[in-house]
Order: sequence, then C-alpha cells, then structure tokens
Amino acid sequence: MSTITYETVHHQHDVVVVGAGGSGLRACLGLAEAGLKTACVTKVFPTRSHTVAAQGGMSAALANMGEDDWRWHMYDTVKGSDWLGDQEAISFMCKEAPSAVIELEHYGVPFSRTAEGKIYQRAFGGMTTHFGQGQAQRTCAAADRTGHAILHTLYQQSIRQKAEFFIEYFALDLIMEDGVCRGVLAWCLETGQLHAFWANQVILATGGYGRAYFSATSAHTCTGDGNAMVLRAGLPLQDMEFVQFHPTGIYGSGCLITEGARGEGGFLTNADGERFMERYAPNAKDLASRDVVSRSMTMEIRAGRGVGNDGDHIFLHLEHLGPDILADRLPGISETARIFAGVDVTKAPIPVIPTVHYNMGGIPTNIHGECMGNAAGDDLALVPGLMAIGEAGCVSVHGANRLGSNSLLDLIVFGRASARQAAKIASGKPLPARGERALFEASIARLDRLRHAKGDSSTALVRLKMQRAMQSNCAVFRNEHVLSEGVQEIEDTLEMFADLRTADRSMIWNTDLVEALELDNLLAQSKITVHSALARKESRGAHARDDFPDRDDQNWLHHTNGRLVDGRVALSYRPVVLETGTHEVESIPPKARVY
Amino acid sequence: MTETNGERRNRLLWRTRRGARELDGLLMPFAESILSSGGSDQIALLEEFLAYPDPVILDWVFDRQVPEDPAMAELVQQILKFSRAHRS
Repeated sequence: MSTITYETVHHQHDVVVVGAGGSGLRACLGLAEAGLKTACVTKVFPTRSHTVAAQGGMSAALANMGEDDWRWHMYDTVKGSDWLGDQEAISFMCKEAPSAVIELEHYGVPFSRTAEGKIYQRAFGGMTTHFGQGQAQRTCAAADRTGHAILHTLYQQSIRQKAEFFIEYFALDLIMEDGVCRGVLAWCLETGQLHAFWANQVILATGGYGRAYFSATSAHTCTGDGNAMVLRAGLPLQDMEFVQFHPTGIYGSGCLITEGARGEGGFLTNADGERFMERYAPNAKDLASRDVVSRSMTMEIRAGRGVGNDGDHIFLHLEHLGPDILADRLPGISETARIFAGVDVTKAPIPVIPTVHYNMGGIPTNIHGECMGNAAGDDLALVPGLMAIGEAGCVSVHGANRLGSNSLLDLIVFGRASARQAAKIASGKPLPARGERALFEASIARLDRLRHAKGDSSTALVRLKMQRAMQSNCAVFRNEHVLSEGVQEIEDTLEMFADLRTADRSMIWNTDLVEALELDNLLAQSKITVHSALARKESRGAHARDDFPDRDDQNWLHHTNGRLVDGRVALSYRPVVLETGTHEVESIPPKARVY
Repeated sequence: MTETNGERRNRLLWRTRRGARELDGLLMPFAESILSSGGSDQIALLEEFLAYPDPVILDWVFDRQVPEDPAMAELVQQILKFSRAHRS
C-alpha cells in the first residue's frame, strides 16, 4: 500500500454533471439558467468531446423544406429501432425536436440556411414522410461541423450562466448511500488530488464505450466510464447487446469512409477479387443497408476469403471512378485514404472492416433522464439522485438500431429534459451535506491497487486481448458457439487484468493509471455486452444471430437489464413500452422492418 | 509547485486525446516520438498546436488550410511525414 493518504477536497453543488459532450453541456446550461449551483466534471476539454466528430446533423420535423410532421419522424424512429425503442420516449423526443433546434439556434449555433433564411434541412437514410411513403428533408446541419458548433456554443453559454467546469478531472465512482446517489468521486489529473463532489442530483453524460472493440470509429476517450460506475454501484445497464457497426472503417485506424463512396459506385471485393455483395444482396448489392453489408463482409472473412496477410479485412474499390468524380462528389475521401491507409484511391483499393460506430445500450432511464433499476433487482424503481443522458443513457429511443441524425437530437432533447427534472427536484433544497469518507473508501482502494499493480500483464496487452475478443466474438456474426467463446475470452481477459502491471506510481498526469482505470471500465461493459448477446435468442436490428435469424416479438419484445452481482452477470427483462404516452399519436404496432 | 519533465510529458500525451478518432491516430504516436527525441522548442510548439480545436487541426492535416505561422505549417508536414513512415 501507498503511504499517501489520498486527502480529499470536498465540493457541494445542487447538481453535478459528469461529461461535457453535447448532452452534458446542454444539461449544464439548463441547470445554470435555472439558478442552480452546477458543476461539470470532465476528463477532456469540452470542445474535444467525441460529439465534435458528429458531422451529419440533427433531425427535427421543422418542415422548412416541404411538409413534415413529428409523428412521421416518430414512425421512422420506431421502425429504425426494430420496435425495441420505447414509444413514449420516441414520441417525446420527436415532438420536442423542433423547439430544441430553434433553441440551439437562439443560443448561437450557426445552422446552414436556405435562401429565405430558414434553417436548411437535408435528406438522410431512413427519414420519410407519410409513414414511409416519401423521402423527408429533416436534418439540420452547421456545414460539416455541426457537433463542434454545438459544443462550442453550449460551452460558451454555460460559462456565461456561471456553471463551474472541472476540466481534466477523471471521474472514479458514484458515491452511493443506502441506494441513493450522493455525489461523485473524481481525480484531478493536474494536481493529483481526489475531489468529492456532493450533490442533490448527479447526471451521467459520459458517452459510449466503442473502445471495447478492436475497430471503432470512437475516439480513444470513449470508454463508457459512467456505464462502468453504474455497474460498480450494483445498478443495471440496458440492451448492451445492441452495438451499431459501420461497414467501411479503414482497417487498422477505424477512420470512416462514408456510405457515399458506395453510393457513387464504389464496391467491395474478397481475396478472390469477387464482388461478393452480388451473392448476399442480388438487388441492392453494395448499397444494401449497413447491417447487411457488415454481416456479408464478416461472412467472407470467416469463410477464409478475407484480404491481407491475416485474411482479416476486405477491399473497397474506388479506382474505377476516376479523379474527377472522386474530387467532386467524394471530397475528403482521397485524403483520408492517403493519410490513414497509405492508399492512392485512384490506383488501389482501400482496406476496410466493419467498425463499431454507436452503442444503443446504456444506463436505463425514464423520459426525464432519471435512472431506473435499483441494486435490489427492481428494474422499474427509480434511483434517487441519479440521472443519465446521451449515448451513456438508454431511454430508449434508438432501440436495436439508431438512425443517422437522431443521436445529436437525443443529446439535446434529453440533456434539456434532465436539466428541467433536476431543477424541479433540487430547487429549494439546501446544498447537500458532506458525507463520510467511508462512502468512497472502496473506490480509493481500487485506485490505489491499480496504481501499485505489480503483475505481469501490461495495460496495452490486456486491452488488445479484450478488443480482439469483442471484435471476433461479439461483433456482427453471432451464434451460440461464437458468443460462448466470447464469454470465455472475456473471463480469461479479466484474469489477465487481475495480474496487471502499471509503471507510473505518481498521481499527477498519470496517464498510465488513467488507462488502467479505463480498461477496468471497458472490461466490465464487455462482460455485460457478451452475456446479453448470448442470452438474446433472436435477431433484431444490430443483433443478428445466425442460429436465430428471425425477430421474435412473442418472447423478445423486451429490454435486457444486466447487473454485476459479486462479479457474476445477472440478467433480467422488462417489456418494451408500446404506449405513446400521448393522445396525439397512436402506438405503432410491430411489423416486419423492410425498406 | 514546479512541474517536472515527466509531468509535462504526460500532460502533453493526455492532450493528444482528441474528440475525433482521426486525430488520435495521427497525434498520439507522433507526440511519443517528439517526447523521446525532440528538443524543448519542438515540445513547446506541439503544446501550442494541441491547443487548437479539432476542426482547425483536421483542416490542416487534410490540406484544406495552411497555418499562418510557418513553424506550425512545418509541424503539420512533420506529423504527416511521420504518419507515412510509421504506418504498420
């Protein structure tokens, strides 16, 4: 044990938000506007949150480009979710969307405009009018940097409203007492001190956990720290088996080659040079939906027809398109391929692999962002003092599959809703009292253990083993055998983690220790993910089982709730909410999802 | 409290963590190499570079914009050259 006693600095706030991406900042702004003493704890600078990578835009039925209706948007989202999304949450999100966009505009987000000065909206896959009949133009964007514009604006506004930012603080654990969340323990990387943030409400806005996989479009910082904090508190994560893949991430780097590349005539080949998509999808071929293309690529690789030395990827060809089309219609792709694959796309194919893009699963909440599911195993009980939003949360609006341009919307609508609810709960209450150190002693012990870990396995080695296991055994191709192997692989990885070696014993900017803590977080989430996937014996949205190829609404119109109980996974299920919660729109009954 | 070299090094490494995946991949390995072999001027320049927002840095590495400061422009070229030489 260390001789340092980990003296702790204490803070008292009405509300503490963990994470400063789109949802966390939107919550902060709402809370600070309501006059609450608000703290935002974030491990990276706010404008470097992963929301910055969201370029596509934000959907809302504003009807600026032609007729539109939030009920059509709701229909698209329910269908896109393969009916796993809760219809009350989806109708709430789609109805709130127009006002959420207008509000962002008033805060200063520079949305692109039409000639008449209205917010310009463009078409996006899966977004329709008249319940699937026509193509909607519903997506608002600030050129190709919507995510950055939103972060920048919300951060500036939050500062103006006197929200307090604690930047480059790594959140370690929730502080729980008798089932109530009392605050958060965090580690200041700059000074090395621990800080206990006591609050009447804690809002987790910590994002997804894409880095559990070998190939992910997520930044390195996407380790789902809030999800893991919830698991350590004995609380559940929901629908973790639903992980969205993008078919064309560059092999080895994870950088995205947009769908537009295939839209303009790009095609995929295997080791035999065969255009294999013609076999899997004779009509749509290379333009089939993301999940179908990702699955076909994986089948080819598994059949031994992958390209490269390890036969573990596929080629994407654009050589035949010619330099003019590439420059005109696919700007940026040539540069991306040159820099990240070392490929001149006019002369050679790009090596690609299905790549993790989004986690539909997360911390279960109601439509106000309040966490549901307690440590006693009741999946409907609220957890006093705790909320979750954004990719960390699972409210659930994306169900089994998220539509493009619905994620920025989710961040803003539920960031705003959680602020309203937290203000309702916390306003008028005195600031929280400081609790006892005993409430977070276990968390300090975990930190100290990893800081002085003297085993044989490096963090990088254990992380790679986990990422390879998740990529091979819990990605696009799933069946009983593959997933059972995955369960064992993750158990083996956890054993390796128990024998971890860290090198840096300091507390100041100890990135070695941060990475070990993040790995601990990723492993816990990986374990829940692979167990949830093994248990779900049907195919729905992003979860496609080779041995159970059909959707099974009789038995599986349910959300998975997974807890860690004494290191073992405990799964339970609750029915999907089909009621819309409003008289303004009827429930959309499950039917086959065909496009 | 004066900062040690190790602390400065680790702080710089932490700040190569970006919101965009593309930049993580370019900047993390480059920073490691600068820290092990570069002079203090180079390290200071890299610190300055890392303070820019992701979209600005992306424009630079994708050659859509050139930094006004020639030293910064030279650094961008070094990063790209390093990435070409060290691609596995």
